[in-house]
Amino acid sequence: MKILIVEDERELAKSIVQYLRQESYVCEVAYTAADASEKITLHEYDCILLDITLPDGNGLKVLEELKKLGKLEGVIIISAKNSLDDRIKGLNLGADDYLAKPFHLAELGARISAVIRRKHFGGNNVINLHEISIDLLSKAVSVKEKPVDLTRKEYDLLLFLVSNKKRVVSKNAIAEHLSGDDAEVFDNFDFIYAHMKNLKKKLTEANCPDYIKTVYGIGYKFES
Amino acid sequence: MKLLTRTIRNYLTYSALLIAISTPLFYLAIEKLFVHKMDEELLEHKTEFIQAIPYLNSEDDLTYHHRHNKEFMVKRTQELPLHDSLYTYEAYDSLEHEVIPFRTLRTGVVIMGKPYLLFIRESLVSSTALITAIMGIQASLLTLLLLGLVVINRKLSKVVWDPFYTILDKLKKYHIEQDGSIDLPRSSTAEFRDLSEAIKQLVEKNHKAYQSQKEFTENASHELQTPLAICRSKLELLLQTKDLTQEQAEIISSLYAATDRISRLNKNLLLLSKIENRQFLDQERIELYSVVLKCIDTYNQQAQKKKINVACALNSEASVTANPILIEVLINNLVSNAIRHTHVAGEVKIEITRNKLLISNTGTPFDNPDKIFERFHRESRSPHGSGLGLAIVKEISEAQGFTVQYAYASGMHHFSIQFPDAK
Repeated sequence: MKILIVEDERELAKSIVQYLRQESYVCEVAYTAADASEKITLHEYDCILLDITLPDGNGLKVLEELKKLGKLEGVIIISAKNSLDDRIKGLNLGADDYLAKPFHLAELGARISAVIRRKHFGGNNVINLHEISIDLLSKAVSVKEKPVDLTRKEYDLLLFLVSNKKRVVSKNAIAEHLSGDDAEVFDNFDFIYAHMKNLKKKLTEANCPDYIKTVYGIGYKFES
Repeated sequence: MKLLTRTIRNYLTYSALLIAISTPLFYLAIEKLFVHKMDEELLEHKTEFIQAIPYLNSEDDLTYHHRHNKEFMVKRTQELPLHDSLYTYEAYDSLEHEVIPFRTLRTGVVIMGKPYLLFIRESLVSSTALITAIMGIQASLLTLLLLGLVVINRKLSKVVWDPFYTILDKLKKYHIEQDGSIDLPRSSTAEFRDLSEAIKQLVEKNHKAYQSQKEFTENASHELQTPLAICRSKLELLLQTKDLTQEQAEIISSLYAATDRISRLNKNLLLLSKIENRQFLDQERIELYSVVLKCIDTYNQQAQKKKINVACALNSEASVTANPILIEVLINNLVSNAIRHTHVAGEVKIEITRNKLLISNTGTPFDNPDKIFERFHRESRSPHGSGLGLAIVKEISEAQGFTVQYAYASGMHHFSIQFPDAK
């Protein structure tokens, strides 16, 4: 899978590349709008991360170019301007998703994998990982073809971990992912423990090995 | 007291005093003049009488003279008075049937070689009537003058002060967050023109200061987003390093929490400045109960964890026309505050009536209930709040025309949002 990262902040671009590399993505970086325009005309990408504020122009222009080229699928706008206008403009121009800075890399990972799956698997969108299969359309999970009854939050949690498999996902990222953007994060992450405990229990009961590891109380990791 | 009333009051006091003092003085002066004139007349009569004495040859002549000249009276006397004397006395007048004042001249004359006292008197009635009439006219003239002054002054003041009141009205209606400049009428009065100019300049300066302060908050928040994103991403990468020790993990965890806090703070500051900048313009009809239900759902886990009983009484027909995002943030902030600050096994009550949202939760009274809506004011020492939640609630309420109120009663904090009546 090839990903283009259009981001003028080199350090941030570097972090994204480093994080995504672990998921066998091939990443290319463009630091300017001109650079990005050149790359999108020459290459095909599975996903494009597009920063809207670029030193040589508005990222939305790159988006318009993509539209002209018919290469719109798989664009995620990342912006420091969490303004509704930009969000609507971007999504109207055909971007798939919008992520406001500062985001958790795990959240970005989950969004990228969602975009890519949508693009490549369309109607038949099932993630198979060892014994576990997750049907993204019906939001059903089964272990060795036996359905596991998960709550909405447990399902979200599992998908989030799987989308960031082999990487440590912090409790903060999980909390934000589960509560949504506007939720105030609470004094503790007790509610995550509860969901996690139930999820693990349900998977173990369905004879699935315990892939979810706790990392020093700071986060979780889906081993595979 | 109004300026107009103040000036008129001073005029009135002065004029009333003037009338009160001048009228009796004037009366006395005119009366004195009259008496003086009368005395001169009496003395003339005396001269005439003395000229007529040689023609009085008998007592009969004298009686005849008296019969035809009632004002004269002679009386036999032993010796002549040294001086003429003039005085006023009151006597009964048989013609008028009343007691009237007479001015009298008493003098001594020699008629047919004998000494006589001569009294010449003149009624003062006509002069008194005249004085009274004059006084009446004078008093009414003065009163009319006074009334006219008041009326003219009032009218004139209204015209003269009109630009002032227009300026005042415009100033009252001026909102620094909405209007850039103030439109003041050009007055022909120099003072008001100066005032207008001064106000215009002041307003423009203030607006500029306000604008740059607003922009500063927004720009600062924006600029902070990118370094924050870098910081957070590096921490996430650090988390991925192999052979992480417990100690290192704890440090990363603390850093992570701090970054989250900055990020939340920044997000809220940005939200505040956006509300202030009136960037949420869309208005929609929103059903309150669905927003509240969604919000409760979000925090249900936390509430259950703390064994908080959340009681709802939601009128499903209550709706409000407002910006959907702001309404969500408003309700979210109040509900999350209530759940966050309620102690374990406490109680949260959420009530929606036709045009009111009431959120109550158990808790101890605040130390400074007046300050709870101020930015960065914190009642609890919890490190997780941004200190902006209620400030945002207040700002949203102001922007959307709601009334937010706080009260503490029977062991509970009560926050109420009064929505304007639906049109």
